[in-house]
Amino acid sequence: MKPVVLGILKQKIKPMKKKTGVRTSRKSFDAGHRIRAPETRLVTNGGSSTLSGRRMRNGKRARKAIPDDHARRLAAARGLIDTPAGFPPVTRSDRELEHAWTYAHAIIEAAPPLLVLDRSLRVQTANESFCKCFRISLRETLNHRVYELGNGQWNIPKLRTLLEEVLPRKSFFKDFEVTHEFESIGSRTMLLSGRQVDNLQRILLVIEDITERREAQVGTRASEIRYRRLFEAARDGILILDPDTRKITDANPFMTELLGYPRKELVGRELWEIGLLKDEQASRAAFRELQKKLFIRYEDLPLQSKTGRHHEVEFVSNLYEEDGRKVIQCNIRDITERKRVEQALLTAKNEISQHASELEKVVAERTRELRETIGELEGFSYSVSHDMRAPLRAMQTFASYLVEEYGGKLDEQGIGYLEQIMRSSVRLDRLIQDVLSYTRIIHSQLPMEAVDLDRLIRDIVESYPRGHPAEPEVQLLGTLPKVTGNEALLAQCVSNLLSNATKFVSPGTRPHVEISADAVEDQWIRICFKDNGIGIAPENHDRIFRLFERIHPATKYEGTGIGLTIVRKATERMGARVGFESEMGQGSNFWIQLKKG
Amino acid sequence: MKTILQVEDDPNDVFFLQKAFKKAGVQNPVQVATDGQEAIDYLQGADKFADREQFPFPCLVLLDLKLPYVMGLEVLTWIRKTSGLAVPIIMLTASAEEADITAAYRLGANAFLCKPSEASKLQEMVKAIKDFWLTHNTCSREALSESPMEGVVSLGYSTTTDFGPKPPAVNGVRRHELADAAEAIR
Repeated sequence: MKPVVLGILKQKIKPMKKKTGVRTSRKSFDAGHRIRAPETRLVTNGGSSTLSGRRMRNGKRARKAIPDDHARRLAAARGLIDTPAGFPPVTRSDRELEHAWTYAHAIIEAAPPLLVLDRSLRVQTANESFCKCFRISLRETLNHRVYELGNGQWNIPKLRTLLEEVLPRKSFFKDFEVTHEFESIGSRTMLLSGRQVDNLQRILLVIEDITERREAQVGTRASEIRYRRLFEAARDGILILDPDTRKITDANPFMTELLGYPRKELVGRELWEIGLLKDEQASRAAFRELQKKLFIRYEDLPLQSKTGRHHEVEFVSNLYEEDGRKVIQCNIRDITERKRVEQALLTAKNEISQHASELEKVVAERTRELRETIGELEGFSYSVSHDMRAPLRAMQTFASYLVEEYGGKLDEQGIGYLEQIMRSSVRLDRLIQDVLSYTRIIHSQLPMEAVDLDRLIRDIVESYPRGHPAEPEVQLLGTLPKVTGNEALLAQCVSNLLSNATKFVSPGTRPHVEISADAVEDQWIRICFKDNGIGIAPENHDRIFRLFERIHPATKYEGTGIGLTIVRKATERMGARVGFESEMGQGSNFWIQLKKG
Repeated sequence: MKTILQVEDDPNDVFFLQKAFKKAGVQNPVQVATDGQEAIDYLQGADKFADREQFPFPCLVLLDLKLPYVMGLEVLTWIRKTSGLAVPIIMLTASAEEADITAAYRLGANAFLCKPSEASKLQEMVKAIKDFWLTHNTCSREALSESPMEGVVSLGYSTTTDFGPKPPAVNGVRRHELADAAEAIR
């Protein structure tokens, strides 16, 4: 066999260094020559190789002897071996040959992934680039049929066609693009080039991996398309200008639509010519500013379209570089509608604020009227308490004088009539006072504060008249807590509830009231007034809080029918609640529920 | 015996008080002013009250709140602020409104009493007045002098308040004004 020129690969002759873990082959010639094989990355296969083609590991010696004369001469030419006796000296052509090999080897190493195949398509040579690119080791490559490589991953139909059909006919093919899914490295796009080297009975197969390049191309094209679409579809006018000539080089469809000029009429014009800037001078000034700041913005620019329609536009211009070339991009936004809406909004706002101020006036007027009414009502109450009660007081007092001073002159019936007058006037007086306190509760300003319920209730209980035959027994369970309320209102409530609790008892029963406080939920205190009274029939439960509503005739239990109404109104005004549980004959449990103090 | 000035527009109340005084054995003569302006005139010794022999300066004023022309609190204001008189004043009125009570004390009243509805209670009250104000209480010498107005040292109070004739205030309650006055004092 002839030596395979291309099989002689990059060889560096240098002192052998011990390199572990590096994929190197060390070759040495047999027969005890002190040859240090050069580091070889690309290895040829085949016993006929001049330098041993067997890839060696760990510095094993190549088993094969150098077969021919030629190789010896070469080796000698490289100074690798001593020229033993009987060998002809190294000739000039040997040296040239050696140079050619080195050169060829360098080319191969620098080349894209490359395989050298023999006629049966077995790999004779594979460069490092191939191994690296397709992640395959030399051992798995050399002397294997190309289709078998990487577990048959290279059994690519198109490659088959090229190697088996195209090459025999044409002796070469070039840049056939093949995309193939590799198990190990995924989808790759390759450019396949092959050449039959007839005299060597070899096929050179160059496989250029262009996957990244293709992807980049696709990406670039996609982004170009995307940006073009943005340009075309934008609802802003976009103009591209040449900074040197200040002329329009491109305009998007929206811009042409906005201005009413076809694109070809816009291209080549300057901004001031299409009415975007006032005149050439303004245009130059704007460009100078743009050159300086790289950015200009005009909020409100009047713009007239070709048809004379007026627009308000927002104009933003940027100067930037595109592949080393300066470009100006202008974005023109039609804000006519926005301006219109803003104006409408402003008008609406003004109208609203005008309405609001009118409303405020009305409210102030109404408030004043209301205050007046309340004032009148208060005045009325004041009048009632002073003027209406005065004659009543006179009636009462005169009646009592009558009884005192002229009682002897009257018979029992006469005295009875007088007593009736006195009782009625007392009742009317109490009624007036209750109505007054009710209206006072409704209208007065009531500061809310922490009220010491314990002290308040004890004070009220203490002030009860003593020595009465049926003196009520009032019992406070524990110390009552502080609550939030108005002391005057609370006193009124407690007083009214106590009065009811002790009043409505069956004849002969000593009234007994138990006052206790419970925490309800987190922030409420419920104060209960549990009595031993006559109780309230279910059908009357709804009536008892109503104004002037009385369940019992006045002859049986005296009262005005306002007491509980006052309690309800007072608790309402304190943000508190009032309620009760009661059964006929079982007594009642009235409660008021206030916030903790 | 020193004179008591009762400022009261209701003849019934005048009658009841005098009856109760009599019953309680109060010997002091009682002069009656039937409206606020008259009370001021009396204290000033003006016009028909100029004769201090006939209308002596009182040792005690019983002052109703709700009066024609000039209301009780205004009379009080005049006595304390305008004139600076040191005479004891007992408010004697039909109802005890918190605002009135506070205002009255702030303006310088010495007591606040509610007119009772029952004769017996009125009697008790009058007895208490007799025992305390007419017996135990000591008045300032100024109040006891024959014409205290002459001896009044100006306290520097504003005298701009015009208590001249007012429109008839028949039921025309000016409680707001009073409340405002009370508020101003606060």
